[in-house]
Amino acid sequence: MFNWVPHTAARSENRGAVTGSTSGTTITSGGAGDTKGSYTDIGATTSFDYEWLLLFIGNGNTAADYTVDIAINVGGNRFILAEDLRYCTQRASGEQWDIYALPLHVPSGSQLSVRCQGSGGASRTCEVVIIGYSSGPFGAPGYSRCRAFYTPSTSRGINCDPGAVAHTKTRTQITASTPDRAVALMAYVGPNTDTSSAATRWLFNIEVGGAGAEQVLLPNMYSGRGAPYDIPVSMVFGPYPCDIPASSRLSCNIQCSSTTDGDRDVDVALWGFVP
Amino acid sequence: MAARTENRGAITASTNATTITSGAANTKGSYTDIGSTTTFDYEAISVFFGNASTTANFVFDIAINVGGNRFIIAEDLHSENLKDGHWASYDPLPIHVPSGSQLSARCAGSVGSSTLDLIIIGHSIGLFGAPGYSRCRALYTPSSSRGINCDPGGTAHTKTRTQITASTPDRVVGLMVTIGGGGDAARSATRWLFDIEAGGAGSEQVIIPNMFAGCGPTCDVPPQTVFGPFPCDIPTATRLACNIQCSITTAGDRVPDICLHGFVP
Repeated sequence: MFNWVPHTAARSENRGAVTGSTSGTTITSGGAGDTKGSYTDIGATTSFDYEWLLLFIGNGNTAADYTVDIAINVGGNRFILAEDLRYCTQRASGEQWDIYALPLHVPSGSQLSVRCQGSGGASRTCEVVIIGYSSGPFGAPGYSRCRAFYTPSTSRGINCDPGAVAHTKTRTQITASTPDRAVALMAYVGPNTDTSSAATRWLFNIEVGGAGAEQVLLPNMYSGRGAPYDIPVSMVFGPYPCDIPASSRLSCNIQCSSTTDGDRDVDVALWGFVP
Repeated sequence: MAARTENRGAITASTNATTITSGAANTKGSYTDIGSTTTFDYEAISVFFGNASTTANFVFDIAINVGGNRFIIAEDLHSENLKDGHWASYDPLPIHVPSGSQLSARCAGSVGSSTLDLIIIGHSIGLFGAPGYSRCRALYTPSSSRGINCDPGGTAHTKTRTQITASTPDRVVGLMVTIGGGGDAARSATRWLFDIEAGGAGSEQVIIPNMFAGCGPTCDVPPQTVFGPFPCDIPTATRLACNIQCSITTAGDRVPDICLHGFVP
């Protein structure tokens, strides 16, 4: 049990904001599509322990999918705190901003850095800002790291097709085996590269368990999209409380109001917070 | 810690949520029950909403009804639907809901008799296994069913401060920020950096420094609108402000609206 103190105030500090141009810090993907670029430092080293951080990602320079790693560098050793976070500005360049609230511990004196990859080509850029807090909600300490519970495909999540029957769920495995125990679960639901669709609604469960024996963790989450933006506008969900053992199978069981192939599909990414 | 969950409001037969209907323009409609009564104590709720019937701004209240007494547990949550196709979620809100409660919701829209669909997922514990707070108070007064317009002014990359509330009604230990399009739904590419501050005029202290938001000329309003809740401890009767700068100077385009909510222990 954590030794947390309820109702505590928190210090905060910003890393990465560029006030002279109302921007974040630019990070650049690798020299080929779907390949991570080099790490870019995000501001100066942290001046106190963070137990919670906010990550803002926006202003992507190309209509593309991205995945992003947040790392810290302490004494020359780089450690990935949060891996393969999704950012999707598939609709058009500079359209999407995604914001993550991450209950993670970052030691004082750490150099935060971020790297990314983008779909469809080299040198995609996006901008990031990080705000660190000295305590989490309820005064809680942060977890050790945020693990990806999916393997990115073309810099996006796992394609989940609700199938050709409207209002009927179809299940897709997101991961066969989680690499760690997780005590909080986060999801991202993207458009699976479809950027021209009729109005669409989804209800989806996140489930745990072997094939045929799945248990619902999160029942009937709700998302949708419509013209003119054509992709879901708010794609980050959670983190939610949970306790998922290592080596668990996770899946998404999803239904859709539309039966149009492509329009009905989403891509789903999951992450777990490791205590 | 593990948590039980249950859904209230989903309509699986039509892949939809429960519809709530506003009154006259900017006037709350009647409460609509969201599913059946809760079967266990919730310590957090996740709220999903979208599928508005028209392009409009909305504010909505979530209430519980126990033994005939209705109590608002989250007031004037904002949904930015000034462009079609806006779905969003508050997830999760650290609020306690007793077992056996009837959840209900009502909304006001900037267009009269407009509708919004809504789902609630209840969690038996909050993050870190924490209990929920008693309620979520609006720390602003809605204007045209949206937040307070914050104009960064006619000089790019320079902050201008707008008061969001002169006096908070309660002590709050979690702060949530919602950004909207400020009533403008046709803008060029725009970026904002903004601080949320506490304190009297001229002596503000930054609570949240340089949050980053923006949008492009297709979505025209900020796509992800909900930030937080963030840890804080703000006394009753505190003045809150937003100090904001923008990448563009076009009147209207440069102006978002900001809502603040606080969680009462």
